[in-house]
Amino acid sequence: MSLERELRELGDAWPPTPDVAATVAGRIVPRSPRQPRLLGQPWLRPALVAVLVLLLAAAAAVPPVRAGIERLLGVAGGERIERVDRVPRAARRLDLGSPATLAEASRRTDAEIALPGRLGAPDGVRVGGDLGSRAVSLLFGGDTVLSQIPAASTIGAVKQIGSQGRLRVVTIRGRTGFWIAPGERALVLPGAIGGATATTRRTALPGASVLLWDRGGAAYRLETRRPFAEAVAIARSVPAR
Amino acid sequence: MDGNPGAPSGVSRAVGEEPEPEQQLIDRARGGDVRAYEDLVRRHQHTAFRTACVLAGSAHDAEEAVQDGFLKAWDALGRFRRDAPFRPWLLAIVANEAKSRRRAASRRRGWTARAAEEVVVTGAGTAASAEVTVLAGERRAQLLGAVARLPQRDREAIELRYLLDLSEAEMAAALGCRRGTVKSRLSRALERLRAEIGEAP
Repeated sequence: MSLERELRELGDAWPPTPDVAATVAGRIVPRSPRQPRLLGQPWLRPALVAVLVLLLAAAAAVPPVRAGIERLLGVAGGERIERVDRVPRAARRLDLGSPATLAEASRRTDAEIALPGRLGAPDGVRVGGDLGSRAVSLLFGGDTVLSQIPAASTIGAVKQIGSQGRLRVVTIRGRTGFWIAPGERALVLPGAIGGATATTRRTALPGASVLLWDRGGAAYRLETRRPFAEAVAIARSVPAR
Repeated sequence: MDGNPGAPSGVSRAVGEEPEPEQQLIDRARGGDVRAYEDLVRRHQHTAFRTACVLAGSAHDAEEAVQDGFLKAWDALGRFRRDAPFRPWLLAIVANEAKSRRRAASRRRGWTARAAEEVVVTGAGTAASAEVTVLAGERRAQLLGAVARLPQRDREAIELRYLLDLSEAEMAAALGCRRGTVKSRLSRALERLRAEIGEAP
């Protein structure tokens, strides 16, 4: 057999191809349809710009219309992730609840707590707080927090990401996850959507990225100042509950 | 429970229905139709992912490169020449993403090295004819190992041409060089591979 043919027969050693089509489609920012020729007329443009400015001003002033400008990017980690034109100002950091031992946390939330294999035992445990009474947050050093929430009690918060905010879609043990860079983003807790900003939150850790995913009936939320690849590796080391 | 919802290819069309011609999908995608672009991604993700595996060196980096590459291609669709073949154009974009993720060569041996190790571990004792299996497994491990030991440029050429079966035009797009350069790179790579496994040219 020729060497070339033998090499061709090695072609079955590839890793399995992930299906990225739906994920890519979900990340696409839709383009506006092409302008009809009429819009190319120079005399029409100033009038259209004026009308557009008026419409946008009206839209910004009315919360339900403003909500229509938002675009859903996905749902993970108990949060809806949306792209918005303007991120609300969030003065307060996320409250992770009160200290507890692992055993207490497990008893109070009636859930088994999954420890990430890559990090081992946590340095601290918190229960409750802004993420809901059944949320357990594990603290690792000063730079990483892993929160886990039973899916049945997820709080329906919205992660809003500004137009310049960076987001990446990743696969965590076969499930889609979202990594959100520090910067233009805020967590809007239920009750605040479309109105007051009193219940918007910043990350618990300043300058942390956030990784959101779901697995085995639980929602996971990782805040970390470690690099992207390490955040993903930590997430992938969390066993099923 | 784990298990992800990846839809199999062509799932959006009824059984027995003719697939939509690629040019039509491209035209619809250029007009802003995200569903048409999703179909295009599904058609090409397999080759794009494997090309990215070769150039990025790991499946993890390749998956990210493919996602980001397809997103960049969407943004660039308006600049795609309608009479040009689509796949080489797409592979060039994905390849750029994959190359930008490639780590230092000293730390990156390419996926063939891992594949060779897996052959050694799993090659024996899994089929009825143990002797034939072991011999085939040894040859396979020898070839994969030899490809893995080649310099990066040679390894990429061999993997893209023979293991992935890309055309020379597609290889030129992925490697960012002329077709003539692809031919000479391939010929040199085969020569080095023969020397590596101790075979006369």
